[in-house]
Amino acid sequence: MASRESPYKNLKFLIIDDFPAMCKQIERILNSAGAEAIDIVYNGEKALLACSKQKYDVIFADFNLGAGKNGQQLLEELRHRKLIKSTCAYIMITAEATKDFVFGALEFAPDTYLNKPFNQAELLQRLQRIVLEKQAIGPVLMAQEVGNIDLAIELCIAGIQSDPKRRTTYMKMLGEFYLRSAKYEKAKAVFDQVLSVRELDWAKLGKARCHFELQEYDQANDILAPMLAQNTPHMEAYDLMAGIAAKRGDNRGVQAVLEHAVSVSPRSVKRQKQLAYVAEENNDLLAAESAHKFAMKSSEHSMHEGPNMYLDYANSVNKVMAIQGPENSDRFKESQRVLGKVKQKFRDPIVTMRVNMVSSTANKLTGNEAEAKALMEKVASDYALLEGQMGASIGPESRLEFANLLIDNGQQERAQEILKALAADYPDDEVLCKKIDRASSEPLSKLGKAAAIKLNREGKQLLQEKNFADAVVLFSQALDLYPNNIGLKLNLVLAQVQKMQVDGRNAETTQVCRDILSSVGELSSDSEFYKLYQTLKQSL
Amino acid sequence: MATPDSQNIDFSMLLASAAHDMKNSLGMLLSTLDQMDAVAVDQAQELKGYFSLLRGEASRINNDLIYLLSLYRLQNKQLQANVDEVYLPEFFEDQQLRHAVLLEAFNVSLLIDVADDVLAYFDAELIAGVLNNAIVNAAKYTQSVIRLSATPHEGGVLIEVLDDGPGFPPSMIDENTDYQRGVSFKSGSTNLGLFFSNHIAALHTNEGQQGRIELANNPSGGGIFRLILP
Repeated sequence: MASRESPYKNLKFLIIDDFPAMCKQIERILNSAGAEAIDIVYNGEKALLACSKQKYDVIFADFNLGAGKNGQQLLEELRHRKLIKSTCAYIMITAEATKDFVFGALEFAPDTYLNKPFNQAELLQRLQRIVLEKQAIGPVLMAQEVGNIDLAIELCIAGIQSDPKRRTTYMKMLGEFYLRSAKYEKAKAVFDQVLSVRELDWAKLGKARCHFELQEYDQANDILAPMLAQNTPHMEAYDLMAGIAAKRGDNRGVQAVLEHAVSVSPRSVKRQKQLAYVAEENNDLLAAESAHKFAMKSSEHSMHEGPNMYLDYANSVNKVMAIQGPENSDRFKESQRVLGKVKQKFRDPIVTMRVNMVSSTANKLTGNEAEAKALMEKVASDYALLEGQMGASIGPESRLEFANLLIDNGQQERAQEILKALAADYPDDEVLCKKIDRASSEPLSKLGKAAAIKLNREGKQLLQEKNFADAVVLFSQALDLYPNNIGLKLNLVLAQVQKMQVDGRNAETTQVCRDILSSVGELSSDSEFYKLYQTLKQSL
Repeated sequence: MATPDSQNIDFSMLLASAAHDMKNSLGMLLSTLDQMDAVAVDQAQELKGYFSLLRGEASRINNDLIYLLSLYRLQNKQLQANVDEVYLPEFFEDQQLRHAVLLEAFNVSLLIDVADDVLAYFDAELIAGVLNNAIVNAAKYTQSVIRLSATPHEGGVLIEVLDDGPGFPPSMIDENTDYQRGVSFKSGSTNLGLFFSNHIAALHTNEGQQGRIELANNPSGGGIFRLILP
């Protein structure tokens, strides 16, 4: 069979395993089946290089590649950077010992698996099956790769008719393409047809996604809730559920769903990061710190690795120390260790400056005033220098972090200028805009402004109705999102003062109000809040 | 550290983490064996025999540990059936090839008896574990042949592993068999594999129906392991 018309003669193979003997064994088996073009590399980095030079048809990758990337991280990066064609068959070799999580439920799932130990016949059978499959659905994959979704849909419909054995495969792709081209009713019909035969998870998820896109949140919730109750390994179920909570404005709900998701599958950097951000918005600083730490650890060797992972973590440690005080010296040491590592690892003037920013705050929080001040001065001069050389390309993170550092050091006005410019430069970056509004003393982004208008309207309404308790809750929760916002601070104090006029004066609340006012500082007479500020100050 | 409290040791957790460690070591051992086997390709036939013996025993321990860990995860709701459409002819071929070395060592042939278009819905990985236990067991007791068959059954599928050995002892076929009640150390066999199989089968549900296993003897001789999936 191998000699004359081997189906593998013209295919290009790549084998990745850190055991040379294993590579040799696979190579020998492939040779025996008529394969000729076989490359071998021993780690993930070399594999990336090989794939950027050559388009492979079949890749055998061991999950465990020793130090560095594992086979799954490699696959994610290859697909993300489009270093492999969509028709390339990725075969993951796994030892039972490493199969602690369900590969099949991952976003970037390999095409097939080969469990160790395997013999020649097993390998060749697996290979034959996946090559035939890729050939059969190849036209669909290629249409998708060039962005011709209409053609891909046509080919799927034809495939459902002509290839009964792959009917389910074509149905799955068809539903996906309809979803992607926003034909939600058609997609739902496809998923419903599958579900009428069998309650398959992917079809349930597809249908839930249709409901979500059609803003039918209750129906989506009804499908997803039982899956989550079973700790489904399909991460998309959690993402959708978090999306529903977000649409309903339930930030605590988003956090709870994401916490559930990472407890089932802790290795997802993307989800840990989302969790960290939403926990920050919810002022749950310990949860944010822990999620940033997990994200940092899981990002190692993956395509997500970068200075932000480490700096975000160190910043989150600072936030915890700001609340808990400096007594937890382990926390400080750990963050200092990470910062040292970042400097070494990336050796870049901007990264070094950002490390110094975090470090300055950390030293201030632990009482090392002199060190904090020295670092702050170094940062200020480096920032001026780098900004002079690079302008805006110094990066949004650097600008935001510098503004935050200035605020911590009592230089609100200069910080506000930087934040304003930043909001103007990135009006459409939602994540960044949220962070800008969080740091700022007034809403600067489109979304932040809209939220502020809505809050003010609701707050005024409550005050008019003399519902002071609810007004206090409303403004307190809003301050979780925008802790530096002057208007919110003053409105909260106003609500408290009016509440005390009814309930009677309370020493504790009075002190809290005075602290809030002093955190605002002195307002200049041209501020829109000047009058309110003066009135409140006198009444306290 | 806190004062140790020997009265309240959580043994299931301890066992599970010990099993996890052992399984990792065995995985290393097995893959090293493979590397040695690959290097020793031109060595004497005798060496090959030792390799297959080592691999067989290591696999057995490995399987037991997998059963243990799966049951532990099941109890802690960490194990779900990742159900998908499976074509039985292909699935059986996989099992045939997976056990080729073992079957050769026992001088047993594995025959597949299934129509081309039989498909079913189950977690292929978990059910392969169930069949693994049945096939390894059948290989020990059969004379020469093991037959794998699958037929559509009440909207689901009936999978059978038949051998031509002496059949199961009557005590195992009784309704209240050990594997349903729990693992027993009295009989000399812990039945861990059957206990695992029963739980994995039950993990597969559809429209109120639950999967199950049955043991029977063929009137014409030999044991039958039945797996009924809804």
